[in-house]
Amino acid sequence: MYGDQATALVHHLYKSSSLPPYKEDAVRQVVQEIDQLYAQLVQLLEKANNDLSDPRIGGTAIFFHRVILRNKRCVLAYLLHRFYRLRDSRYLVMDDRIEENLSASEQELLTNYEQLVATYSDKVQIDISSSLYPPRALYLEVKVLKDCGTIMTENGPVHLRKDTLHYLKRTDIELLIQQGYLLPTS
Amino acid sequence: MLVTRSKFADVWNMMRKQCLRNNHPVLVFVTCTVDAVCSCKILTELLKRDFISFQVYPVFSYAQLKQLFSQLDEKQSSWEFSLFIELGATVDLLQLLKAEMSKYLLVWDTQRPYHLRNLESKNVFLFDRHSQESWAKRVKTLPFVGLENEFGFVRGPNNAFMMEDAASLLDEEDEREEEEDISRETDDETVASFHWDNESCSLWDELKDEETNSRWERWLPTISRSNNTSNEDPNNPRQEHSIAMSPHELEDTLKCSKEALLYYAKLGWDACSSSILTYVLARDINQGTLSHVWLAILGLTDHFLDNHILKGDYEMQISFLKTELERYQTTTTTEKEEDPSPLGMLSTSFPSCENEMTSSDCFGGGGCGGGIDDKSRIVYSMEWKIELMRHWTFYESLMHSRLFVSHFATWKQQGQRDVLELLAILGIPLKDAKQTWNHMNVRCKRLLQSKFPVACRHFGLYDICFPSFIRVFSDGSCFSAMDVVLAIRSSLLFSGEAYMDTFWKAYESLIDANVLVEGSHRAINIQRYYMEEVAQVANRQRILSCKHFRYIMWKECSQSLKALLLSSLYRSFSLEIAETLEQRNIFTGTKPLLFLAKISEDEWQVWFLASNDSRSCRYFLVHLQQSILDMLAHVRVEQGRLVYYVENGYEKILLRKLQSL
Amino acid sequence: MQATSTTDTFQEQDINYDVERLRKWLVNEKCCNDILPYQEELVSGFADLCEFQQSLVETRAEKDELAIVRNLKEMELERIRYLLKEYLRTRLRKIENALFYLWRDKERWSWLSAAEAEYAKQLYPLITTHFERSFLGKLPEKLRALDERDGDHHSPGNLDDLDEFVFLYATKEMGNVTTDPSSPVTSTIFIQKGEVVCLRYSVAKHYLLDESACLL
Repeated sequence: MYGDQATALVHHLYKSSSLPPYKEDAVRQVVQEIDQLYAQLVQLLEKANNDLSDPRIGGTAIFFHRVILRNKRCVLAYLLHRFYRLRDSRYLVMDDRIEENLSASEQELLTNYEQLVATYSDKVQIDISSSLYPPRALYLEVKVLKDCGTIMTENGPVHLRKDTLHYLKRTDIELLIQQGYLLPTS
Repeated sequence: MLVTRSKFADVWNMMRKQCLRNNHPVLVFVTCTVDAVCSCKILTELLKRDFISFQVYPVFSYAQLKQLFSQLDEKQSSWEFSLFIELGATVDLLQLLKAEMSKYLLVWDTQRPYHLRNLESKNVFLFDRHSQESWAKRVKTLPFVGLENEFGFVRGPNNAFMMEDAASLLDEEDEREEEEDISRETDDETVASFHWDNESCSLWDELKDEETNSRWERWLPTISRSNNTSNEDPNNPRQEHSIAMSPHELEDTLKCSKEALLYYAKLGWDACSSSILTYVLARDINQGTLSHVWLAILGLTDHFLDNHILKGDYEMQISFLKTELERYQTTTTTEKEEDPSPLGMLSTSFPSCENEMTSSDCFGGGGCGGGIDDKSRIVYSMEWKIELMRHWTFYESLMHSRLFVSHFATWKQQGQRDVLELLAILGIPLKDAKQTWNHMNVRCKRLLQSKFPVACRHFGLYDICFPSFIRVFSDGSCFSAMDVVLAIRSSLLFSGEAYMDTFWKAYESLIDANVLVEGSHRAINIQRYYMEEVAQVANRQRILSCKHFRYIMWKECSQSLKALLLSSLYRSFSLEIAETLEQRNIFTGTKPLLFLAKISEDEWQVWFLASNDSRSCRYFLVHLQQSILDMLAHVRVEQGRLVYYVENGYEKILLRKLQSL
Repeated sequence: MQATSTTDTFQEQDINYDVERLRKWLVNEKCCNDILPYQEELVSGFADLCEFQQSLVETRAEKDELAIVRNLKEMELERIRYLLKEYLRTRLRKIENALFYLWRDKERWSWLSAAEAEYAKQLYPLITTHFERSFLGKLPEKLRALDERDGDHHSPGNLDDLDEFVFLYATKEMGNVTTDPSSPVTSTIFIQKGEVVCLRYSVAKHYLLDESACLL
């Protein structure tokens, strides 16, 4: 059935919770299908000399065209939604595995996007990538999961060794919590 | 310096003010015992209330502490106060850590004796349970004498006698190493006069006693001999000094050394837990909560289970905690709680639905506002010394409890028969006894309640009950303090590389009920393991007797034994063995028990248990420490003077030295 | 937030009232899918005030003020900063979601701030090049256009049905409100101050914009 591949693609994304691997081959197959259909459409129109009065020809032409458009729409939706998911995951805990699931183009898009957000932050002079959650307390108790080296806090440098507990200001350690180096205990 | 009870709040407030003014973080160093973990929780909560940032570092040995300290000094020097929980009282902290004069070290440690240098230092604050008046009466200041090293090892004033022995056993190289040790370890001599109080009156008696004096004569040769020492080392100030000193001064020095030796020989614990001390601090600054009381209870129970506290002192602390409990809980009883102990005995151990036991539900969550929620209560109860009774079947918990293992030798058939007889006398069918406690027949439980202590007396077990507390949750389930302590302890089992995780697991089990339940399963396995090991060890063949002591050697250690010995569980393990020996009358008379276990290819772990404070025990301990001091180059002192790690090969030398006493 | 001259109570009230306004606009943004006008004065005003409060906190820290007061001030600062950041983030997210639609609709474009407009302008080519690289570039020439209408004449990237219902809280009396302008039967309801009603968004929008109501 025409359009099955595209549907499957969208469905696959719909079903998964976070970002699944990029289905390169599925997209390629849809492209192939569109190419095929397009070739068929062109052939058909050439045969009929662009005369669509015959319902059979007209109907088939419209059918091909619609399928092509639908496929296109599906894939574009797939790409766009992957971008939205990527954007969302960026704000939550950084999962390294996400990077493996991206296509090359998506990775480039991600870097450019991050740069764009940074430029925007600079312009309004407010860092919008921090304070992702309403602040419940000024200080947080965190356990260090991986060695973070020495960080600068408002009260001076603090060395974050693995397997120690620290009680520090939220603003100083928010980024590290996002990146998964620290784990809030409460 | 000593901080008496009335001054707790003052010192703490001083620290608070400084920290808030300068925004310096507080460093907290904790050991891996249940008491330390509980105290750490209380102290960190107090710090959180004031928004003082802190850093918690679990430490496992003094060597690690030293390394950590120097690293911290390098990397961040902007701290002023550090807290030491359950470590540091018996060692010279300033010398060990080489802390700068601007730093203050606050120590909550119940191990004794205090290192005298800590007592006189202005930078080290030792929190002590005695109040000003009673402390002044009991012990006047004991100024630092200068005869001990940072770990509290005291060299006899002249160890020529011992050196001769050592020379025959060790080679030239070791001897030279030891000389360097001597000159490094001894400080400039400050001869001081000090008074002993009532408590230590017995020491004076000992010194005056002629019999003991003659013993001392053997150890501490006469003044004339001291002048002709073979190992003249120009760097050794004492030797120089001794040559120049008058006989009268030398006699004084000898007396000082004797007293110092005896002072440092009596290793033990104070009649309190550091969690109670920290709770008292919290209460003094009006920040005590119910959860702090529970943590204090756990810390105290931890000490009691390891025989760190005598029963009388323990009961005193329990009654103190009971009155404290009334501050936070109403004493009006609901219909369920007409009489605490039936509730305790009858209730199930597990919550009705484990999924409901989220951290906020059960333990009130960690953090500033965290505490026991209104629905759970702490109830005073007379508990039986049967470990993990509510988490196991009654039969199994009887068979594996320390009291029964030591008294009945339940690994033997006769022991098992005795237990079955006990159950028969109680009128409990075996089928019921082998049910998990939750599902045990209520009739049986009521029978137990009324008849169990009586039945035990019939078998010669008089000490089956002890006062404690249980924690009752809203769904009727409960955990006794003893069981919680055992569960947390099981998390502290040493497991190779991941030893840091064990500390954090124990810390988590204070908040997360699921971790605690897991811990109780592990604790059951540990109880089983104890019995197996005791069964193997508690017979005449395994225990070798000498004139003044007995010892057990493990030439090979299984993984589980190693895990046990390297964690803080080694003591309860050795206690079980010692009690079994005593109860089964395998030997007549009690002597100190020395344990040696080969924990790795290169090292033996050596520790001892002195079941009483008799004179012979004391002398044995002194002799042990002197022997260790002789071989200090080949011994690692990691946990103060309680446990030694002796190089492979040298344990034989140590044994030979001890046997020659 | 307290100004240094605490005697001026009207000014105090004003600032605290603004905090409430910021919060209301944040909730408005979160509750509706449509682009709303950018509250320039609120945002820039608060950005300045935050800096001022920060400097206050830092100078007071040098004196021996009660730590708890300092902490309270810092906490308040953090909360307001969060409100600001969340407001900006929500708006950016909406822009991203409705990028294609925005590209065509000039009215809504005017409701973006300068920085946001710049952001949208730069994001559009990013996304379109990504599409081309991944997919469109591989298609035949004639099919590469992006904003083709499909069979149902829906242009890509439409906003959701603007007539969905929203909950509205009336902060001022709104008077007679026509509930359904598109239906032939005109029905009006009288909305008093403090009432909560559920209306079509298209009707409610007008009242949102002049702050006589806010979304829940």
